[in-house]
Amino acid sequence: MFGRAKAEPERDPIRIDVDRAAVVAAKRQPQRFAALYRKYLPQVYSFAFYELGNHHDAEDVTERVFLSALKGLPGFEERSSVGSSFRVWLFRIARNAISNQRRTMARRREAPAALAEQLPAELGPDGVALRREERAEAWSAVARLPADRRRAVILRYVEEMSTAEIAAVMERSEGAVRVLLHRALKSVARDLDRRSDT
Amino acid sequence: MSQAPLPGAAATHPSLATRPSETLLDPDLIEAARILHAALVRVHPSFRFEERLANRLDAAAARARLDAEGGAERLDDPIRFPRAIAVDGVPEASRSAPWRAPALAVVAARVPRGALLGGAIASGVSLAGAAILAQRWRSRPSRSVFARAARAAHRTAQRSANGSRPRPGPAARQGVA
Repeated sequence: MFGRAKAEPERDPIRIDVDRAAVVAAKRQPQRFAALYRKYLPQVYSFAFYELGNHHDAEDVTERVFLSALKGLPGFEERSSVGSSFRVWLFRIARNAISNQRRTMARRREAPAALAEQLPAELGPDGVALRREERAEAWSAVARLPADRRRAVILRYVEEMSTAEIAAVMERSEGAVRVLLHRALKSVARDLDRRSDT
Repeated sequence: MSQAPLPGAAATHPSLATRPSETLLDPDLIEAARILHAALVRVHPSFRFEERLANRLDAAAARARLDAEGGAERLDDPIRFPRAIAVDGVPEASRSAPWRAPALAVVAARVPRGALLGGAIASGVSLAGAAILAQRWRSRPSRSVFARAARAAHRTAQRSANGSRPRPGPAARQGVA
């Protein structure tokens, strides 16, 4: 899927955590955590929403994630790698919370909500370019993906994370993430192609 | 999958490639990635939820700060409520700090005065009754044999001192030798 130009050396664009100042401030004064909360609320909420398929569970998970993050912030240590940024740390908390919520939903034998029914009709400038049916088909195709591929796709296309960040959140190697994304895209392409034929 | 990289594919959709040096090769995958990129937009939570969670975090942060300063002793009431109580649809958290129970003085002020007076009278009556019973119990003569014998001897000694004839005891009254 991804051809790599040989001339360009391997470079990791993210070495310094962009949230370092906010994290240091929040460690000193917990009430300064508000800045991180305002910044990451839509991201964490979107991640939970696309994973769980309904607003109610997404709210539950989001609440737990931020309360856990505030509680665990004194123990958070940034290192000079992508995998230890605040964003990755927060999304790891979210990933665990979502997994727990999924287990709870499985115990309750809840049918997964249809994502297309939950999302708003108007999606803003990006969504306008896409036909409504096309969007619904894309959501359906994503919902049918196996859990790890779906997670990689959400982190890639909703959260716009790099492969290194996705690998850190999912605790996989970057190569494994590339394979997951490649297979997910193939499944989605096949699914969309099949639907356009019928 | 076509082997030739499509020029400009990554440049047109920069988020499709994970690194600047990577480009998508297969046109079908490029199209799928384009659709996913357009369809999977970020979803925002409701304002109401956002504010409610902000208040909870604010309360938790204040509590964390107090704990860090050794503020456990500063709390005038250590009972903590884990959740705010919504009244009239407005979360309590938005009006006051929800992480502490109200002080005892506040609770007392909320209790009706009649109930306080009634309680005080009832406890006063109980205390007075207990005191009377204790006094009566203490003044009551003991029923033990030794106590009765001691009282009889004391009465006999008093009468002898007064010059009167001692009163016969129960055995003499019944004609027992």
